[in-house]
Amino acid sequence: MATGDSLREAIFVGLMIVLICIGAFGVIQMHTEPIVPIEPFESAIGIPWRLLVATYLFFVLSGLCIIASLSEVFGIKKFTAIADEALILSLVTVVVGLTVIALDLERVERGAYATLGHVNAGSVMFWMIMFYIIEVVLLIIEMWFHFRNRLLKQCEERGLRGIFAKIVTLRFLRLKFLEDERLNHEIAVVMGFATLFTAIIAYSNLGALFAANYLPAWHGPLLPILFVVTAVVTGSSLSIITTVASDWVRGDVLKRYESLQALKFLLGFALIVQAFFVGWKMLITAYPTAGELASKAMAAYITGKFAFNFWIIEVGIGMLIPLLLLVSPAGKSISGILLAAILAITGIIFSRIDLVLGGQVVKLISGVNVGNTPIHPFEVMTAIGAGALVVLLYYVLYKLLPVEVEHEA
Amino acid sequence: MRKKALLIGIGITAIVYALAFSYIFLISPIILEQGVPWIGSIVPVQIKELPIVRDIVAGVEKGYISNWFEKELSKKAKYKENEVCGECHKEYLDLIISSNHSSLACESCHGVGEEHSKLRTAWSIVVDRSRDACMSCHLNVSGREAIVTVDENHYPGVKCVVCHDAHDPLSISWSEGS
Amino acid sequence: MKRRDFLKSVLILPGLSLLASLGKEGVSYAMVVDVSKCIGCGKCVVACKIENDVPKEMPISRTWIEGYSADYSSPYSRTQVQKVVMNTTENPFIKMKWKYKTVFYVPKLCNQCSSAPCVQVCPVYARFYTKEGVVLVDKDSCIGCKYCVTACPYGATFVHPEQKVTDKCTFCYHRISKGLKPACVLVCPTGARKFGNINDKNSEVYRLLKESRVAVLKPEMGTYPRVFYINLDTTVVE
Ligand code: HEC
Ligand code: HEC
Ligand code: HEC
Ligand code: HEC
Repeated sequence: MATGDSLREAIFVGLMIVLICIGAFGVIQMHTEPIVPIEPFESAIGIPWRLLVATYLFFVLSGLCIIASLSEVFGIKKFTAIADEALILSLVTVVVGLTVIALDLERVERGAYATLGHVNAGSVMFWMIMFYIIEVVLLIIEMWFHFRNRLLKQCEERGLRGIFAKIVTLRFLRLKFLEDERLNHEIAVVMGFATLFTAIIAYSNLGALFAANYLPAWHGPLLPILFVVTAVVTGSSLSIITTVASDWVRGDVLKRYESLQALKFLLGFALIVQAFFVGWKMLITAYPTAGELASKAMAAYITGKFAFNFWIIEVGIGMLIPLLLLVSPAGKSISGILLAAILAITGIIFSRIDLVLGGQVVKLISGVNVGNTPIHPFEVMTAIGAGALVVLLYYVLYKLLPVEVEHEA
Repeated sequence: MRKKALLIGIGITAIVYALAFSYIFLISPIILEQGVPWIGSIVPVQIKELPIVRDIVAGVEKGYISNWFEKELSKKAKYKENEVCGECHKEYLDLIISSNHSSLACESCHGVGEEHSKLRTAWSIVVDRSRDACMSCHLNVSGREAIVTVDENHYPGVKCVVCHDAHDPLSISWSEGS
Repeated sequence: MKRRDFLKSVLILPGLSLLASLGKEGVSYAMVVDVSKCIGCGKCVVACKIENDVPKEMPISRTWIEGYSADYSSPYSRTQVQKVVMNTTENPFIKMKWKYKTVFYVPKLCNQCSSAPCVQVCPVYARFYTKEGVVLVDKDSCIGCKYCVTACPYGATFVHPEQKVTDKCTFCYHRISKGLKPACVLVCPTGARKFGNINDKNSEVYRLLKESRVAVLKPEMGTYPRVFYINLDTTVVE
């Protein structure tokens, strides 16, 4: 490896660590007395769920499980080349997402009581946590089987990668029957199915968590479906971005053109479905017969405080421009696809923020008037830190695991 | 796809799910205690007798299902009823009971008297003689049909307590001359 | 009594707890608020904040007063409403210049729903019903996920900035269990708030519930509140 490369890598890792430290600072400030005297970082102001919940939503609804399973479970060959990366990223995003939501809790340490069984099995939020934990466990098992064949080979390597491979393959246990390559692959397929199944339950359950509320902007049957669909949008765009990025770093951008084209179709399809569902949800909620409050809630998006976010960023940048890009001649080039993916991701990020914050603007309540939707600087710092954590963890796992991109070559 | 792979895969999934669900439905102290709604206890008595399970249930009593109920009960009431003030300020209580302010609690004007009834000092209780104190109830802002109101021009500049006795407001100690 | 004992005595399906307690001899608490008697003096808010250690200067409170000024017109959707909330110890109504002529004040608090959304959504079972029907927050196990804050249709729940857990009105459970009135009821000068046991035929709330026409807030939510309102205006129900 050239020294220039390793220097660049060191700078990259250092930058990420700095960003994570900023995030950690944000977290500490959120939960302790802030250095800067500010309005207390509380939901007292009337909006209990804010940027961190939006960040959480973005990460746990990353939908990369679905992308990864396309090749593994459903055997679509075009997606094989990106499956490894999608798997790693899906694990990283879900884990970081759960960390973020844990940090958003007022009293994380009380989770200990809950682990001892002090739980309410009738609560959607409880099932959300349950299903995401099951998903993470299944995902780890799936990845274990998925990478096992290559990891076994990697054991021969020297250095960190070899040691890592020796540890995670549990080679010292001498599991003879798990050295059968085909068997490992097939188990990975079955586990992929189980993960996908759990992921979809988890996504729609998360939708139900919001939709079961009485807040008019959230309430309704469409949110669970919308969540699954937006998960596909997020998954395909994240997959496009990581694929192009890692190919660019490796210096061979055109290598996975086929996969990118396939992802492009997936992204386009998901965007169309998303546009339809967003429109439909808007319509049935804003339609006068839906009730005074519901249309008031939607007015926040249509003309009110979130109008810019909604029309320009969510609809324009997030849906229309990417769709146009994808169908236009630019959609044939990799940079066109990448741009579309980045725009779609921007739209998704803002749609998460709008959903979480905007949903609470018009409360069914008359008690606490919600005037402003404050996004606190410390929250922004934490969100940035979480993003950097995702990138760094992805980078580390990418380095440690035997990722293969050569399928098409 | 071979049967073996299918079996192992589904087996692992089933184990993960079973662990998670049994954790809720079997181990969870609340379910242990109360049983499943409508069905009742689903856990055989033998399991409840197991040492680990018994520990958990005992832990429930000791604290990690906290004894919040008792804590809530053991909180001290800060606001006192009029009778408590009356134990030491009999004359004011008698005065107020027969007056137009009979529906008022001492503490709605004097503030919380928890500390005062222990310390019995003058500084531990609020005696607000300002006009604003009376005006918080008597000013004729809109929507006050339920009370006799006065406007700001009701002898402006003079404190209400100069003329009205706060505890018997209609005994007015004022005559046109003074 | 141990908490598990009364947990047992409460059915898990929450809606039934009120039905179960009604008509029985046991205690079932309720509050009746006469909106026309409220003068917006704000003594209840102050008393509540002191009694229950809620920060005084912050715009959060277990009970709060809403001042409405309305200009009714037909069709109703054209009705203009101005609303001001008193939830600190400062009383905004004294200096208020209302836009419209009809003005009234509505005291609000946790409705102690018999089928409470907050109890249903709490992931760690930190909210529970007592056998008198009061909904309590177990502040020792609340993790502060704030789901109850978003779930409450009445906005009665908030995060306590110092204790870092959610908090809400408990009908002053520590007082009523000793036979005292809730602090807000005690200090109310005009008797707009009445509190008592519905099952007690001699209690004032029983009489009020029998004699007057009462309304609850947001009945369409199916929460079956324990706080009843007399002379409630439609603009309040929304
Ligand atoms: C245990 C007896 C006791 C109780 C109960 C009690 N007080 Fe007092 N209070 C006193 C005494 C003694 C004084 C005289 C203190 C002094 O003048 O130094 C006093 C003085 C006062 C004063 C006059 C303070 C001043 O500035 O002159 C007020 C007002 C007052 N009490 C109100 C109340 C109220 C309201 C309550 C009910 C919550 C109450 N007290 C309960 C013993 C009591
Ligand atoms: C309407 C509000 C109001 C209520 C209700 C009220 N007080 Fe007072 N109280 C006052 C005011 C105002 C003063 C000061 C009177 C003055 O200086 O002439 C005062 C003074 C006192 C004093 C001290 C008198 C002095 O000269 O130092 C006592 C003792 C007292 N109140 C006791 C009570 C008790 C006991 C009750 C309940 C039964 C009660 N008050 C209810 C407003 C009230
Ligand atoms: C907590 C609210 C409150 C405060 C403070 C208060 N009052 Fe009252 N006042 C009332 C109520 C309630 C009545 C009873 C009205 C009724 O019965 O119609 C009343 C009645 C009166 C009346 C008799 C009016 C009538 O014609 O029936 C007078 C006079 C009066 N208050 C004067 C005062 C004065 C002077 C003060 C200040 C020391 C004061 N009030 C402070 C609530 C208050
Ligand atoms: C200069 C003496 C004086 C002062 C100061 C004074 N009042 Fe009066 N107030 C009276 C007299 C005299 C009456 C009875 C005659 C009347 O109705 O005007 C009265 C009557 C009242 C009434 C009964 C009104 C009615 O229509 O029955 C209320 C209520 C009242 N006062 C409240 C207050 C309040 C509150 C303050 C303080 C802001 C205050 N007063 C200050 C002398 C005074």
